[in-house]
Amino acid sequence: MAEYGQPAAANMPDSPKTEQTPAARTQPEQNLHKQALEWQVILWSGEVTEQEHSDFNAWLNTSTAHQHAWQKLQKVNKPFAEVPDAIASRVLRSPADMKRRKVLGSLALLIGVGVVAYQVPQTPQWRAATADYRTGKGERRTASLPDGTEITLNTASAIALQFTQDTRRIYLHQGEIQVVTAADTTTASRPFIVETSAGTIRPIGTRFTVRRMDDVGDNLQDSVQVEVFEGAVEVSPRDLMIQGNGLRLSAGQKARFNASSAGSPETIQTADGAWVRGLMVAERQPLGDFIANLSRYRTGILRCDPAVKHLVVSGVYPIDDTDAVLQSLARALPIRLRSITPYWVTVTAP
Amino acid sequence: MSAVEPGPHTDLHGLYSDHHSWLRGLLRRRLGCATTAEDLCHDVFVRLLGKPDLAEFQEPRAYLARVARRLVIDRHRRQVIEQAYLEVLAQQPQLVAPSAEETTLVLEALVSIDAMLGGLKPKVRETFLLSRFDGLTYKAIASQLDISVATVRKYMLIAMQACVAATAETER
Repeated sequence: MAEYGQPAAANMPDSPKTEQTPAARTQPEQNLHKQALEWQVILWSGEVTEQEHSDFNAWLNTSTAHQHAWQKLQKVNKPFAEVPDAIASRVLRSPADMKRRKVLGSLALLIGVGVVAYQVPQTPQWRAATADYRTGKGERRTASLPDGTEITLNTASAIALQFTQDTRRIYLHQGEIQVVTAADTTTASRPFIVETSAGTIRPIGTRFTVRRMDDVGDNLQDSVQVEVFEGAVEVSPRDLMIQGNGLRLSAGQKARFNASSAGSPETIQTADGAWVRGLMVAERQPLGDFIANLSRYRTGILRCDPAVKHLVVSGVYPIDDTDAVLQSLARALPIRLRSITPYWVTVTAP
Repeated sequence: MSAVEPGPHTDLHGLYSDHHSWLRGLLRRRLGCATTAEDLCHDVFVRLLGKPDLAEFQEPRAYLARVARRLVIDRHRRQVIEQAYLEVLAQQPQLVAPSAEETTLVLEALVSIDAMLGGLKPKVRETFLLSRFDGLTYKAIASQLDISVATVRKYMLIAMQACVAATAETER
């Protein structure tokens, strides 16, 4: 410890120390990092002398490698600057044992309440709101609506929002959304409706997703898929909008419908709704389907050669890094990735 | 079909097919919550993506359980920090309420600092906190903790080394 008690200049030789580190990267680099650390400790003492300051500057200006080592260390320090001192001082000293405490509720909940309270001015106009939200390919974003409802837009999606005195309406123009509803806190609670080309969905205190299946060519034309994770929803195909004709889906169910008919409810799978968490889950899924799904998240063209579309894929994949997903597939399956440009990738037989 | 499954555990697909139900079951028993278990199970497999040496696992289940255990601990620590942060926020005068983005940023930073300092001895941790967040000089810390200034410097170096190591770990 005496090593650090001496004047700084004596401790900070420009030449590497003799100490050996086993199986290290280049010795000089290791040493620079060590020196940067030692300087950091000196500069934080709260009693830095003029001499130490100028010695440090001299050290820093020795070479770009020195500056690089210092900058690298500053990256480590970054989180320290992001927290107000008074908060860090208290939070980081709190006891690690939480079992005795009662959990107050999630942070998200607290923030939600705070935001709602914040956004209620005295005038009634606040209740009327129109807004558009959209995402590009590969993007995902969550919007908190004035009533506390949270909407998450999946890749390449667009919604329009229309809140009036009487209703809260969301038009799904394109893509897929997750809706987590909140009870309307105003005196007369307004019905909440998701409108699609195929008809409407009315949630009952719930979390669910709605996806326009425009990009999926099969027998149910222009259809919309609804997946319910909590609560329940009532689905009303456009042409059958006579009361009582709606299809009721409860938690754990999903169904496809179009303007004139609704399919029968099915059980939701692990894979459903995983996109909200940035994931794609495949359980023995044909490669062709997997690639079609992945291409929703990828800019440019991504195709699967029919020769390999029956290969089977399982796993959990991050949709925010489609390159990594493709590389992983290529390692595991007898396939090859042919890319004409980064924006045009075909999955073929080797 | 034989080309589809290139032997047991040689890749993520095989690993997932063979073990994900088992892992999910394990987590569900440990955590008592199916949704949390499912989420953590997913996280474990996402961690494996891009690891080139999957084929070399002798005992995949032991490995998966180890990764899962670390995630469970991380998650628990995060909850502890989140909880403490909420309590501190609740006691703050409500003059300037932080925005949701700000709150999330601060929480992330707190969690990562906590992870950095996780393995430190209490006195080293306390030294670091006094210096970085309470603004004490080394001399003041020395007298408060009844140690020498040289020891304060030594503790600071140990703490910083832990921070560097933790940062390198998360970047890997």
